[in-house]
This record gives sequence, C-alpha cells and structure tokens, in this order.
Amino acid sequence: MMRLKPLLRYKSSLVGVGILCFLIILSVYTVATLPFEEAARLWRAGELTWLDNPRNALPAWVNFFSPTKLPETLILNTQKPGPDVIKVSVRAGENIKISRVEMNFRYGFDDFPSEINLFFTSTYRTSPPQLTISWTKPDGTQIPLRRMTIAREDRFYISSDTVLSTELNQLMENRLGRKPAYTVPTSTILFGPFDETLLNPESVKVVKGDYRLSVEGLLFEPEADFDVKLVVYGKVYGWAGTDHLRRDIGIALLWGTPIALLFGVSAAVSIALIQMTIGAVSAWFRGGVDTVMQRITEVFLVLPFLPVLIMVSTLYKVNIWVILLIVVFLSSFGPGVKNYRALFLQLRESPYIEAARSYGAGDLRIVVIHLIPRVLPTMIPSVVLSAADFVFLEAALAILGIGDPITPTWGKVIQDAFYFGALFKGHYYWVLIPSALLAATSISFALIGFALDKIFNPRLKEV
Amino acid sequence: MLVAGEGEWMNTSENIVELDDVRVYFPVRRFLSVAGYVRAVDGVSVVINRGETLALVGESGSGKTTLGKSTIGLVKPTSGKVLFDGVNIAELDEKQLKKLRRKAGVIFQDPYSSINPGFTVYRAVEEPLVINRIGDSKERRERVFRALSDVKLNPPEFFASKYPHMLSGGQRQRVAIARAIISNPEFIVADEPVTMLDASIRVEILLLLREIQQKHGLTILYITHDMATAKYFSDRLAVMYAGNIVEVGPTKLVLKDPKHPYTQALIEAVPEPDPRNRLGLRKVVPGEPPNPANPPSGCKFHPRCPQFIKGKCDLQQPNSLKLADGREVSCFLYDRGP
Ligand SMILES: Nc1ncnc2c1ncn2[C@@H]1O[C@H](COP(=O)(O)OP(=O)(O)O)[C@@H](O)[C@H]1O
Ligand SMILES: [Mg+2]
Repeated sequence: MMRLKPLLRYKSSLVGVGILCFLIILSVYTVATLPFEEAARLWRAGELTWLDNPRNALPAWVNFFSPTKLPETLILNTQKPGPDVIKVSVRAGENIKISRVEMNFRYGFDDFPSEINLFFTSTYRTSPPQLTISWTKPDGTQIPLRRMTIAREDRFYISSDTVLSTELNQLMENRLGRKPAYTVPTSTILFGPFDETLLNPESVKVVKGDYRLSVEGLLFEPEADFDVKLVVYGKVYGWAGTDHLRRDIGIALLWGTPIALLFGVSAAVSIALIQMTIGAVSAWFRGGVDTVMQRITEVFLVLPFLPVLIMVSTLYKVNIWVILLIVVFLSSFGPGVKNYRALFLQLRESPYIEAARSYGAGDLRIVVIHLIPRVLPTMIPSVVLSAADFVFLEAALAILGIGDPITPTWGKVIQDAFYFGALFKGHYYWVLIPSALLAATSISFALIGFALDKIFNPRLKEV
Repeated sequence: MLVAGEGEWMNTSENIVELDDVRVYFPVRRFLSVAGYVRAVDGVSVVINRGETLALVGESGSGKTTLGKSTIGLVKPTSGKVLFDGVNIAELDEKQLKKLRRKAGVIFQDPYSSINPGFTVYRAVEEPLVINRIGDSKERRERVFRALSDVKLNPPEFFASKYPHMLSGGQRQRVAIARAIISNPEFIVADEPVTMLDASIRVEILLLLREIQQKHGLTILYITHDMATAKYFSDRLAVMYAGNIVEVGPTKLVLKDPKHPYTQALIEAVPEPDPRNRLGLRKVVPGEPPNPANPPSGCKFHPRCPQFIKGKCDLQQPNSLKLADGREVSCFLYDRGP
C-alpha cells in the first residue's frame, strides 16, 4: 500500500486517479440507486414505458452552451391537478355530465417542440365519452383540433395526425390568402405566429407565451369519467439524451460504467493471474509439463481470437459474463505465458532461491513467498494497462454485434447509434458521450499504469 | 611413506561430513536427448572434522560449489555416499532432509543476489526460523537481533529495517552470515564468501567468520579459488582439480611442502605479499583447465603436468595415497606400489 502513495506525485497519474475515482463513484451511485434488474427491464421495455420522452433528444446541458434554448418536455396531466390543470364537471341532465379540462402552460423556448401528443384514459360502461379538443394561442386565437369519441385507453397524436395537419394548413391558407410551398408542420402552426413568416420554415419564430389546451367532454353515464395527459415533447432530455426508442441513454451509460470497469479489471486480473500461474508451473516443473504448456500456448497464439468469439456468439446466446469467460479462456494461454515463464526461469536460478532451499524452504513457499512477489511489480502496471484494452474490447465486440442483448453497456449504445444512423442523421451526442466515457476510462487506466510502471520498475524511468 | 588405514582412528562423531566416492554428473541436453554428462564432481572421498575449517581450493569450474552443495543435500550425487553427522543423506525424505539442513548454513558468493531484494534484513535473517518453526515471534526477534550484532551490524534495530539495496556489499555479506548462523548450525558452507567483495573488507569478513566460528564452535567448509585467503583462514586444505580432490592435508604442511604438481603450481601462482615483488611476473598454472564434459583420460592433470610420466599418467587414474603426516595425495609420483 505504501508504494502506491507516489501515484499522487505524478501529475498525469493524479489525473488518471481522479478520472478513475469519478468512474468508481459513478458506479457505486448507479449500483446503489438503480438496481440492475430495473435498469435491464427499462432498457428492454419498449416504447410504451418511454412514451413521455422525446425521441432522439439531445442532452439537457447543451442549453448551457447555446444562446437559443431548446425546449424541454412539458407534461400536463389531469391525474395531477394543479393551478395549471383545471377540471370542472357539471351535471347537464339525468345521465349527462359535462367535464371541462383546461391545461395552461407557458412556452418560453426558442425552438418548436418535437412532438405533441394527447393520451386519454376513461371509465364507462357502454357509452364512451365524446371530447372536443381545442388549442388557444397566447394572442387568444382559438383553433379547434378535433372532436372524438375515446376508448378506455386512447391517444391523439396531435403533431403527426394527417387529418389535423390538412385542416390546419387549409385554415392557414384561408387566413393568409396564400398557399405555403410545403406542408407546415402542425407544431409550427400551433406554436408559431399566424403571419407571413410561417411560410418560411427556416426563419419562423416561436411565439413565447401562455398556451391553453381545452378539452370539453360529454359523458353519457353518471359514473363515467376521463383523464387527459398532454405531452409537449422537447428536444433535450437528461444528461445523455434519448435514443430512437425514446429511452434515456443515461441509464445505459450509468450501468455501462460498473460493467465496463468490472469487465476490464476482472478480465485483466484473471488473465494475468492465469498466465502467471501457467508460466510459473511451466518454469518450475520444466521438462514434460513445460513442453506441453508451451505447445498449447503456441496453438492458442495462432488461434484467431475474433472469429472464435463471433462463432461462439452466433451459435449460442451469450451474456456479457460468458463473453468475459471466453475472452479469459482464449487469452489464458496468451503471449503473457511466455513472458512470465521467462521471468520465472530467470528468477528460479537466483541465488536467493537456492539460499531459501538451503535453509529448508519448500516448493510452495518458494513460489508464493519468493517468486510471485518478484513478478508482481512487472505484472501490476501491465494489468492496469490491459484493463483499458479489455474495456475497449467489450465495446468493440458490442459494436460488432457480439454483445449481450440484455445488459446495457457503452458498446451497446454505440452499436445502436451506428445501426440507426446516428452520425448520418447528426445525432452526434449518441456516439460522443459513450465514446468519451470509453476514452476517459482507458486514459485513466493508461495514466495510472504508466505511473505504476515508473514506481515499480524504476529502471524504466531512465530509458 | 605410506601408512595404510591411518584414518581408522576417526569415528562418526568426529566427522561432521564424510564423502565416499561422490560423483555428481549433470546431463548435457541437446534438443530432446542427453548428449553427454558434465562431470562436476568425479569421485571425491573426503572427511570434514568437527570444529575445523577445511578450505576447498581450485580453479573456477573445478566443481567446488557442486561439492559444497552435495555436502548438505542441495544437489543429489549421481553415485557415492554423503554422510552428514553420520546420516546418509540419500536415504532421507524431504522432511528429514529439511530437519537436517537446520544443522547447516550456507553463505553464497554473491551477496548482491543471495538475499531476496524484496525482503528487509529482518525478514531475510528471520526466514530460516520461520520455515523451521523455531520459537515464537518474540523469541525470533531476539535471535535475529543477536545474530545481527554477532555479525557487527550495530545497532541491529537500525539494520533490521533496511532493504538489501540500501547496504554495501560487505554489509550484505554480514546479513548472509547472520542468516546462515541464525538457526544455530554446526556446519557452514562458505562458498567464496569474499570473492565479490572489495579487497579492503575481505579480511574483515574472514576475521568475523573466524570469530563466529570460535564463539559457536562451528565447522566451516571454506570454498575459494584464492590460495592466499585459504592459507590464513583454514586448518586443512583440499585442492580440487576437474572434479577430483588431488591433495588434502593440514594447511601449513601442504603450503610448505606441496606434493601434487598441481598444488605446487597453484602455490607458485599466489601473489607475493612482499610489495617489492608485486610487480614481478606472476606465474600462473600453465595450460587450460580441462573440459568437464570430456576430461582427459588417466590423471586429468596430465596434459598440464610438468612431471608427466608417459604411459602411466595418461592411461591410469591415480589412487589417493595416505601419507604419514595426515596428508593424502593422488599422484603416481608417490605411488611406488605396483
Ligand atoms: N546445475 C548445473 N547444471 C549443469 N552443469 C552444471 C550445473 N552446476 C554446475 N555445472 C557445471 O559443473 C562444473 C562445476 O561447476 P561448479 O561446481 O560451479 O565449479 P566451481 O564452483 O569450482 O567454479 C562446471 O563446468 C559447471 O558448468
Ligand atoms: Mg563456484
């Protein structure tokens, strides 16, 4: 432990230790706050779970760096009434009830929302409620949106409804006396000004102010009722944005951290220990054992690593820990065996080994007390360095599609991003954030590894 | 002058080590087959008396280290018998051998590599006690400190916490000596203990060894290629050549009147202590030492021997002859028998 103190003396390793500490804290936080089962379930849950999230939203912090504020998502729900959400019901006859819902909200962003949806739930026996939905702009202009009969679970995709879009475009044409060159999106008509600028999609500005969505419901049974949820989808979400399935990428990135660290470190440590053990056994027993071990190593050295992994993962459904096992197995007779063997062969001839034997030390004691501690200094830095390789390997395998379909990892996020054309569509954040995490991890391991090398193998410093 | 059976007055309690026709051959492997044998020790019979210092002198490669190791079972003889304290080492199992080794200590030539560089002085000196489960930690502590002050590493507390790389060569060799004597052995193999040290501290270390020997009543096998230190340090002298001991006897007698031509050549090669003669030509033993994998026939020294008898020395191996004054020599010059 005392030998690790100098780690903090080198500036570069201080940075490395800092990054690693951050990643570890992030991992601990993740594991403590979001159980893995929950994360895995959320990640695979499909769109229904994520219905309130915008699609392909940027991370929220981009607003700090940009003068124009991108919209955040606004959700108004009659199940959570407040000063902005008012629901009034009046009896209008023996069986008829009128419910009026008003949802008021202030829209102060510089860009149009990405989507606007309405979700309904209703309770009735035979006659479904009939709703009349209208939109009021800050200047008081009222736009009827739709009159509809709703089922128990229903929705109205305001921004993507083609009938509504045609109606609104017609309405606009009548007002302006001109036909726009293109179909103006519903959200632009609802949040934009009713003037000539609406015709130019590039320059049209959002009208900031108080908007209102009104729903007037006719209920034909005394017990009937309905609830409305309005979602005005923004263009930013969370710290990592969302993907094509509206999922919070942050969840995958959070869980990706402990998984990446665990995968990298356990692969590096177990491979190094196995290689060291094989090298030690080979060097200690020599003769036939050595010959067999060396031939096996040579076979493994020419065994193509990636094709074997691809083959196994196509034939079997593998999860990440099986991949780890395969990686460990394929690397256990790796080139490290030769290095460790050479080291042990050299060490076993050391006079202090002979001295130890002269005063009665047994094989086990010599290997454990005298040989292995001599190898550790050369081993530890390379283990730390190779941990970075294995973090990358896991990501690379995931990008190649040799991944765990369940576990959310950094590599999976990047794979999704590539698969759904993130770079092509300009969703750079989707690739950049997981890549930055990967890079940070391997940089921190590299910085620490180099510093450890300087500490444990001081002679290298002079070279 | 030949007195047969002269050695019969000795008994086992007097001899701490007794070698009987010991041979140690190392196989020379080429590819997967054995191409031949290096005859590191090739038929040695010698006794080491309790309490004496026997110097084993010979050129580098003559098999001194191998012979030294075979006395305490660190190498297994190919043939022959090694009796340690009257016990045949070859008949012991690993456990008994371990017990027996407690009675022996080794000091190696290179103090820089004979101590684990990752161990503190304390740990290095304590280890034989730990391995042999001697004493509890308090008792071991006392013994380590006592051994360190025995070897003049004072104050012991100061040196105990040092790592080998913080010490000079002489200090390290003192640590090695402390480690060799920590389990109160009766017998010490000192394999060229001062060869790697500066000339200025050699004497100090040898005097220290002598002091410790007297204090603890030790028997020492002092291995060296340097006739000068053997002269000052030993009671008896054994001269080794190509795996054989060619001459044994009390140091003073052997030096005054060397019998074997090889011993004579060695003694002539010793540098003069008289400074006036220092610059004069130093004689060395002429010729090359033989290849131990393919030694000459007959007496192995015959190609270099100034008194080579043709038809005898190159055909037959000389027997060891016991002379009257407790000396033995293997040379046909003294073999007047048939
Ligand atoms: N473990 C070994 N394997 C093979 N050959 C050895 C081994 N140890 C010593 N030898 C050989 O035995 C001969 C004697 O070596 P050694 O006993 O070290 O001589 P010395 O100590 O007199 O220099 C040398 O030729 C050496 O190469
Ligand atoms: Mg030697």
